[in-house]
Order: sequence, then structure tokens, then C-alpha cells
Amino acid sequence: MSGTPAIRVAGLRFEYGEGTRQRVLTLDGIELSVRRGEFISLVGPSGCGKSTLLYIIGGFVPYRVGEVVVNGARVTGPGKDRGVVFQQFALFPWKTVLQNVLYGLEKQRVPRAEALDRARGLLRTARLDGFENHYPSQLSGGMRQRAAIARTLAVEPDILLMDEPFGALDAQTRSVMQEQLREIWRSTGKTVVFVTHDVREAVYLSERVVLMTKRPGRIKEVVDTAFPKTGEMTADPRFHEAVAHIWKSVRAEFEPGHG
Amino acid sequence: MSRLRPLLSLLPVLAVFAFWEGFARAGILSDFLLPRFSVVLQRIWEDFRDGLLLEAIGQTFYRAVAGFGLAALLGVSVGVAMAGSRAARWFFEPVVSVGFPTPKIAFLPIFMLWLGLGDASKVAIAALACFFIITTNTYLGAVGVDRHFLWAARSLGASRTAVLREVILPAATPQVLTGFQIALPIALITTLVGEMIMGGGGLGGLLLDSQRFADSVGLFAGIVEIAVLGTVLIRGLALLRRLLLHWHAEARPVTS
Ligand SMILES: Nc1ncnc2c1ncn2[C@@H]1O[C@H](COP(=O)(O)OP(=O)(O)O)[C@@H](O)[C@H]1O
Ligand SMILES: [Mg+2]
Repeated sequence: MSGTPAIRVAGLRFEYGEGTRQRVLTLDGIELSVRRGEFISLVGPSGCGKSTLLYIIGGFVPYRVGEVVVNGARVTGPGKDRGVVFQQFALFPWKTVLQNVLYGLEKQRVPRAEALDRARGLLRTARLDGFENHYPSQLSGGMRQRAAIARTLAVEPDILLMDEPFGALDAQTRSVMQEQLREIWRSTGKTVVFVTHDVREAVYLSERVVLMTKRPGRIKEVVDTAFPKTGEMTADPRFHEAVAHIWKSVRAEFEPGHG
Repeated sequence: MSRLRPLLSLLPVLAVFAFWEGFARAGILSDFLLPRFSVVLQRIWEDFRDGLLLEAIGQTFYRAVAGFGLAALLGVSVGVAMAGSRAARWFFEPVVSVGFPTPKIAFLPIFMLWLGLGDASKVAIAALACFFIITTNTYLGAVGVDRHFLWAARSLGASRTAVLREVILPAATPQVLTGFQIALPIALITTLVGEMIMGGGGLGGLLLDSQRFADSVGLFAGIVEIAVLGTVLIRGLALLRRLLLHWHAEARPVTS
């Protein structure tokens, strides 16, 4: 069983507005396999279909051509094995922070006392204790981000799908969040698919960086970045080599007449 | 200052009444065409003392609010169902698009025929007048819900019906309440028109009686009473909106 990849995507082709005049070929011939416990990043020019690929793996957007298999089963809809952190956080604005984190636990019918315990523990880890009864509109961007991650972690998915989760954060909050995410990944062994447009972030966090071409998104290159890391500001030449290489490759996608 | 503000906003209304009083006293129009405000006020007080006024207000209030409530119940259900189900959309979309612009008061004679001249026909006409407004607003609010909310709920284990109840409905609440706020005065207007056409008490019935007896003081008293009832209802709903949307940024002054 440990040999089965956590996620396997084969021959995936996807159009928005299929069968209409405004159809947009978004993904074409995607082949991707993610090992259990692996951390991969998706990078590519804006609009190349990164979010779409994540939504398809999440089971939110139905596909027709190709195969998407998670933990050995074909994806036909959302499931609690895949936790998602959306770029816009998507915290329920009518619920308090605590109620947001409790929501998934209620859906899993976790007994009330245990659910409260778990939610409070997660909020403590996210340094949100004291904000339990605040509404999302009363929180800063960084706090909303941490609340959204806590809500997702509450139901203990073994796969985390994260769509530019740190994109809206200031540099300092961002690096704190990166540390926390690495710590979660190291301690829980979750599989992580992380979308970002920040190449340094991708290299720092992940074991492999998957580069996509501009639309229709194909996989252009997969770069191995599994060497030991000390931080985004490291002097390790392998780090800088990988960043420079990926940058060049991504930039080439913007050049006219290419791809 | 903040205590005075409600009084301050009453000032223009008082100015209108003062102008009314002054203009009527000037004697350009006869007392029959335009009775003085003070005389009208005295009549309102007499009606109140006799219990006549409260009974009429009670009847109109009950009919308008019952019709509105019925429409709210049905309209929100249909609106949410349309957002969540293709079949419901297929059935109700044409019905709503025909029903929305049709003047609902045209159904009054039919309702009188079916339901008689009592409360039922008035409640029904008020409900019909509100139904399409509430349905349309609920539907628009529900289909406009950010799909990421729906996805987040689904991936946390919510069923489709749970998503409808626990995500779409609360997310659509601001627009649902906007529909309520448009519909409630319409419920009141429709009820009054119903009462004025078929009688059977209420503030509209009082107006009808005053007209019959050429009692112009009574007519003006009725208008003032209706205005007061309408204002109270609308303010009440605005208060309800603030309570229900306490989570919403619109309901809260900037906090630390
Ligand atoms: N709901 C949609 N309907 C039609 N086209 C869409 C929709 N969502 C995204 N697209 C298009 O699909 C392409 C890929 O979008 P997206 O997956 O968001 O890219 P990325 O996340 O890489 O920026 C873009 O060209 C975008 O305009
Ligand atoms: Mg995106």
C-alpha cells in the first residue's frame, strides 16, 4: 500500500466551458505522481491552470479526459482525505474563529467535548487563542490565514492542497508561516501540494518543484529540491542554483512566440 | 450628542407638520379640504382613547405581517431551492419571470371570490405581492455565494443539503434581508389597498369609512396613522438586520 502514490494524475486534459464558444483549454496532458508524505510545489505563469489543477485534485471541478487518483481511488468529488487551503481563505464570515474550526469536526460527528479540545489546541498552536470569538472580518490577513489552516487541519486530512496560501502576507508573517508549515509537514508526514508564484518559497519548502507552461498548462519540468534546507536566506549553492534555474525556466514562458 | 441624534432626525418631520399647521391656519384652503394638523392629532388621540385605533392597527399589522411572513417562508425556500437544484430552477425561473412584473393587486377580485372578504384574502394578496421579490432576492443572493465557501464546506465533510442550509443560506442572508426590506412596505401597501377595496376593518377600513362619511379629518388622521405604522415596521426590520448581521462588516463600526 505504501507503494501507491498519494496522488496520481495521468493524461489529464481540461477545458472550462466545454462545448461552448467560450471554451478555454486550461490543462493539457498533465502527468504527475506525488508520493505519500511528499511536499511538492506547483509554479508557473499566472493563468496557467495551477488553481484549476488543485481544484480538480480536490474534487471540486469535474473533469472528463484523463485520470486523477487519490489514495488508489478515482476522484469523483471532494473528500475529507484532502484538506484545502484556498487563496482567499474562504473562512465562513458568519461564524467565529472557533466555530469555523469546529465546523469540520461537527460534520465528522466528533463528540462536542473532544471537538472543543481539539479546536482550542489548534488555535493555540496557530497563536489565535484569545481570538476564538472574533469574526474573520475582525482579523488581520495573517490571522485569517492561520485560522483557515487550523480549520483544515482539524479534520486531519492526509493530503493538504494549498493555493498560494501565503501570497497575501507580509514578508515577516510569511516566513513565520513557512516555518510552521514545514514543522507540520515534518511532524505529521502529510502529503502537501503547494501552489505558489514565489520561486524561493517553492524551493525552500518542497522536495520537488513542478514547473508548468503557460496556458494550456502542461508540465514543463520537475526540479528535485530535496536537499537539506536551513532557510530561505541560506547561502547553500544548491538552493541558489535551483532558484536561478526555475526562474529562468518560468521567465521563458513569458517570452513571445515561446511554447 | 449621540442621544440627541434620533431627535435631530425627527426635526424635518416636525417642520413638515408645523408647515401644515401654519398653512391650514392661513385659511387659503377650507378646513374641509385641509384640516389643521392639531385637529387631526386630536382625532388620532380620540380614536386611540376609544380603542378604535389600536384595533385597526392590530388588524392591519396582523394581515400585513402574516402575508409577509408567509411570503418570506415560501420565497426563501423557493429561492434557495432554485440556487441548489436544476429541477427547481427549471420550474420556477419562468414562473418568477412572469410573476415578478405582474401587478399582484390584479388578483384581488379573484382572491375575494375564492377566500371571501375576511382576513384570508388580504393575507393572501399581501403574500403574493411579497413572494416574487423575496424569491428573486434570495435566489440572486444564493447563486452569488463565493464557490470557495461551498467547496470548503464540502471538503470538511458537509453533504449537499447541509451546504444549502449551513453555507448558502447564511451567506445569502444580507441579500435575503434586502428583499425583506423591499417587501415589507409592499405588504403594508397591499393590505391597505385590500382593506380600502373590500372593507373589513383595519386602517384601510377606517379610511374607507371616513371617505364614505365625507370625514376629511378622519382621512388625514388615517394617513398619519399609516405613516407611523409603516415607519415602525421598517425601523423594526432594520434593527433585525443589524442583529442578524452582527458578523458582517456592514453591521460593525471599525473595531480594534
Ligand atoms: N470558472 C472559470 N471559467 C472559465 N475560465 C476560467 C475559470 N477559472 C479559471 N479560468 C481560466 O483558466 C485559466 C487557468 O486559471 P487558474 O487555474 O486560476 O490559473 P492559475 O491559478 O495558474 O493562475 C485562466 O486562463 C483563467 O482565466
Ligand atoms: Mg491561481
